Amino acid sequence: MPKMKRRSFLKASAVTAAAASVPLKMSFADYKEAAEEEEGYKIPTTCNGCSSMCGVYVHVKNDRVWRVEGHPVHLKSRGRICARGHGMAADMYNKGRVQGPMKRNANDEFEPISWEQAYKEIGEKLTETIDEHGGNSFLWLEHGVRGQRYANPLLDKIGSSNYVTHYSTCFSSKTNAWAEMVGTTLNGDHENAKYMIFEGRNFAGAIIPHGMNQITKAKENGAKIVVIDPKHSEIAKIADDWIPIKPGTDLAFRLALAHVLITEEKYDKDFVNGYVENFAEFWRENKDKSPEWAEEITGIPAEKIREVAHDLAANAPEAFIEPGWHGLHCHYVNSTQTAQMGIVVNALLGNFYKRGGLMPSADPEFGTFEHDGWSEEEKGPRADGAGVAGEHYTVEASRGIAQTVPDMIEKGRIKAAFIYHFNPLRTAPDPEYQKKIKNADLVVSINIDWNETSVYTADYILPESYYLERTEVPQAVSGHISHDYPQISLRQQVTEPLHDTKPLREIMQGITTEMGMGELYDYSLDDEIEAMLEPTGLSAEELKEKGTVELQTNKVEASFPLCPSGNPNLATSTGKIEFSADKFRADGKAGIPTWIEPKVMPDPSADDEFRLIHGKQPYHSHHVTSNNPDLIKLTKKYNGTAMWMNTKKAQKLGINDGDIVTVSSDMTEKEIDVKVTELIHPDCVWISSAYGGFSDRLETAYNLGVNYNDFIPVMVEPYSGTTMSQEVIVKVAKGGVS
Amino acid sequence: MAQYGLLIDATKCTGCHACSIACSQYNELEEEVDYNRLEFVERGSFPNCAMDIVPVQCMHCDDAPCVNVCSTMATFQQEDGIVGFDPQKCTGCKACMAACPYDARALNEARLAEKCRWCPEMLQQGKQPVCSSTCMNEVRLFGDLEDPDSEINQKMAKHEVEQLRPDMGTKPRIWYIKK
Amino acid sequence: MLNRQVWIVIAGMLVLIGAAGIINIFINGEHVMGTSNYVPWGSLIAFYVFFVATSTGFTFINSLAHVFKVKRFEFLSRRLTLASIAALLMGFVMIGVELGNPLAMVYIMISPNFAAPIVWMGLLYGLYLVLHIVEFIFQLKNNHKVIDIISPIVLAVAIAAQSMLGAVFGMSVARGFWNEAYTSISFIVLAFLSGIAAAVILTHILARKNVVGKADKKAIEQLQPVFSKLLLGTVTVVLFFTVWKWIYGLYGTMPGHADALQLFAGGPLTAPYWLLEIGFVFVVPILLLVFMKKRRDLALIFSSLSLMIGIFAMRVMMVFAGQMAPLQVVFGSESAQGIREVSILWSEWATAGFGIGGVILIYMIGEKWLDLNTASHDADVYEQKQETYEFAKS
Repeated sequence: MPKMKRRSFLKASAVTAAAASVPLKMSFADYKEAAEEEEGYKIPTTCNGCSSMCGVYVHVKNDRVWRVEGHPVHLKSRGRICARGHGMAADMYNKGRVQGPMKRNANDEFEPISWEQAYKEIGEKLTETIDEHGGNSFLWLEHGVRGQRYANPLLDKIGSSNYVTHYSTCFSSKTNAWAEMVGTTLNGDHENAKYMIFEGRNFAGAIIPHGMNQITKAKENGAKIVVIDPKHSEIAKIADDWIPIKPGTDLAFRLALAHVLITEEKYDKDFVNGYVENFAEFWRENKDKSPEWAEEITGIPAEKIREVAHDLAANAPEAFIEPGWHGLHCHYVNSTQTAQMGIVVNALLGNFYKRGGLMPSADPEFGTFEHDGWSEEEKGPRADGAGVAGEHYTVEASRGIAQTVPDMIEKGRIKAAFIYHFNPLRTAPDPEYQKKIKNADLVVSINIDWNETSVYTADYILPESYYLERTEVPQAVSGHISHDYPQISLRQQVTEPLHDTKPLREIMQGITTEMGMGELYDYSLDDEIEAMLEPTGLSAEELKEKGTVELQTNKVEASFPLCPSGNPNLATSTGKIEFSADKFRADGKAGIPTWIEPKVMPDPSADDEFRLIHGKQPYHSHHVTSNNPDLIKLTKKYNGTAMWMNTKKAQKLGINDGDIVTVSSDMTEKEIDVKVTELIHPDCVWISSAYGGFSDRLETAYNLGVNYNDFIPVMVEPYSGTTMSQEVIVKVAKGGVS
Repeated sequence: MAQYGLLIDATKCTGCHACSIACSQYNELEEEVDYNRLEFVERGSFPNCAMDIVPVQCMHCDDAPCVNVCSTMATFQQEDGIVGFDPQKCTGCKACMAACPYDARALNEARLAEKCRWCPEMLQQGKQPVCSSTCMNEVRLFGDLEDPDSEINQKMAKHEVEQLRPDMGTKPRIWYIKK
Repeated sequence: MLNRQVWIVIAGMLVLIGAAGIINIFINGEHVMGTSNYVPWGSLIAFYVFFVATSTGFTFINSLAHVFKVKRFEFLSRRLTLASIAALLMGFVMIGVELGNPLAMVYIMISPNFAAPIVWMGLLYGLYLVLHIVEFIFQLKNNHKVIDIISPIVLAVAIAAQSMLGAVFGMSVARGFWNEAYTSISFIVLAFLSGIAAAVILTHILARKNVVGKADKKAIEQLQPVFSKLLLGTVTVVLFFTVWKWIYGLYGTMPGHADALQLFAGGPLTAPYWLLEIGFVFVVPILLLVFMKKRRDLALIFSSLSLMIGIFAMRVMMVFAGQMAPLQVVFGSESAQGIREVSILWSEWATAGFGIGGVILIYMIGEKWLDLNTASHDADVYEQKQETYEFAKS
């Protein structure tokens, strides 16, 4: 992390001292000693290594961020933090950071510009665009939710419905299914479970440290872990059973699980009778989805499927299919149905709102901050067509479709775009196509570093302060793991900003003031914090001091939500878990999940054809960490960029471990080295999602490895709008690109 | 005097590398220096195969080859059993590196053969070394071998344990729970 | 004398280039060396062994005169001692560059670890240097009384130091290829061999370039059969060690040992091993010495040159082979597959050149400023030389 460049320092001292080596020794010792004597301090805040936002303490020494440790209270870290959390703290000092506002000039180069000038120019341009094309021609594109707080006032004021998140590249199929069938999302209660299935879900790759701690604890207490994944992922390492499924066929596996549970009457009848709607219709549609049927499709023996179903039933309700996250939920044309079937199987086990089954998050009650100037104008239809009849009606409008921004611009729907902490040029399919985002009249990238999107598309880059340099509003600690009491955590400034950067609220205030709407953001962060904390009884001082606080209110109970009348009260039309998503039906699609073939399949007779699959490495958060020297050190040491290929297939192709191969799809061809391993299904090859950087201003990431997005065209999954990022067949040939 | 040791349950390790990077930052290690690492071993053939992950670092051997070969006592065994290192005294002869059967030492830019110190500052505060305290799966349990009630002794009593390369006669202070 | 100038220019160039390499290493550290954390000991250690072993070998030859009273070597004693000191000093330069922090050597005095072979090696080599210089001074003073006392001690210390250097390798439990008791013994024998070969080259040049007088030239000529026998005999002993190394390696299960031999039999060291070690150290000298009796002078000089090159390579390969086979910390681990890479980069070659150039320069300075001719007024010199002659004829 922050260290004196010892090598150059030594060079200097060695030169001055000629061949004598005394100074080498003395300098080294002196440096260490000095470092140890210096007084340091630590500040609680939240991590930004991924979107889990674990609580951390950041230690500062000699005015430099030294190291981080997990916050002992925060339920996602509980004193433990993963490699990314440690590594990304040091990114504050990364050379790839944008050090002040930038403007693209006539020569297509970036030149520094003052904040005032940037606000003025952007404000003018945006006003012009809105006047000419209407407020709905403005797009706010971001990773998701963190910028929304400051995007909404502007979007509402100018009347734009175009708030789009990265979720369609990540897990919209899951959230869509849950919203329509359950009306909320629940999390696995790993700690109390007796049987857990992680299907296409690498909990040890996309890490919540305390979540993993609970999983390993449960295992120590006798819980069984089954991992279903074409690749032996990190979570498979601690599984009792790894079942390598033919990629793209998880839906068939889940249909067969349901089939066993129903035909053998091993499902929770009371639960289904009381809390499930459309069970009969579901069964009518899927009576023929037997384990034998699924064996043909998945390659998993029917007996194995039965065994898993029996074990699930035997351990129910302390058994579940982990609801998951990215894995499976934006990968295939049948991802939405796969997610639906996750709900169906879990409901058949009767594990909803049960300890050891699926449990809700405990949520604190935040106050809302009311301020002047916020008015809601009438908004036009969404430019991405999400939720729009006749377009992508079944796609959640709150999440949108991130991969089709160039299309929105081409159609003239979007004229100006603000892109906040999102890098579609590297994390959405087909980067060449994504480069057309530049064709908008105004593109502003609000980001930390010189990412591909900023470099290739932005007219202005407005660098936000690093997460250790800024304070944000309090957050509810929730998502993906189960807990009884709500927690509130605060991200707060640890050190002074290194560069000429600002927090998002100030940036928005600067721009909107130039647009004559300064009142939109005319308040202080402290005002917001105070208003939000008001109902919790927690003071801002206490939260700042403690970083993360657990409340003793709003305890989560293991009971199905009921009306006062005693009827089920989920946020669905019947209050029950609905095995049919009615909204899908309204669009002429199937509401009940049933088998849908994957869009593409490798030709079984062609040895060189593979489905290209990808996943998270435990030390990278997709591409966002790929310029971090500390984490890339791990990549290099452990050959993290290599493509995994099954040994038998490799032998057929004459490929040895470490060989360079050419991977090609309809989109592109790339060179990569191969890791030949038994630990992957022969039908697919696997690469990490972290690499393939092509911004030459990010030295560490530049030209390191390849990215799956290079190989896939922009596609939109019909139900939930996701990228279907594993619906791609590649050919692999020994040797480099000719 | 406490006698320190480490019990590693490698069966729980999922290879996140937090131990290594926490260590690097705590000790402000240079790019080519690592005090701990993971070794990966593939077993079996598809679909009946598995991956073992074994955390490896300085074993703080009771009969440490690196201590034995160090001419200036730059590497030495402390009273608490930890194999310490005094960079002032290190001649940079690398004999310790050649002698270590665990590849546990690494040369820094100043050409001194650095090694794991088991975070003495942390121990003084009664905490675990940073590699242990950050480990989400609690793979590493550090503790006092002298104290019969210590967690490490209790856990060790419950499991069969083994050590790396016992044939080297180094008497390591790190034990691994047998699969 | 033009020849002399050519020698000085060559040696001077080697030293200058070497100095650049040494400075480069001091500035950039191991980044400009072919070493790594897996192969910490690189070529410089091998060069160090080469130079100090050659010094030990010179001392062995010298001791034939002073310790074992083989008088026909006595006329060479000052020159051999000087060459030995020069080689020893250059050995120290090699290790000085190899050490990351040589000045911390002072702690060998302050806080020595007597269990460490390096301490004994350091102390013995330090003592060896001091005694050697004292010996040389008394040789120059022609004080036989003192020489007779000190020379056996010098030989004993030289052998002890060299075998202790062997122990530095031999006691590395982790490295199966080195970890044997006879590493110490084979070090001594190989040291003798390099000393003999170096002495042959030295005397050959002394005679050819008329550095020495006619009588000494004659004496050198008469030494040829002795050198020939010494070389053959010592090569045979070295060969004996090598053969047993292979047999033990192939037969036994010593971890690391067989892996290292794999490097020579179908690994990255195969070509240099069979060419430079087997070819230059065994095949060429044995063939020349056995079959080229008619031109014994040429057989001797060529076999000695072959030996010096071969032994130099042998030292490097010994150091490398002990570390190139990955340590099996966790059996079957992915990181322990294949071979650990190691190389010799230009700064290291230059440092070796510094050593060779340095030996030549120091020796030539000695030739210029000191009287290296062993006093010939000794009454029985003629008799000795006659004796040598007779011996050679027989």
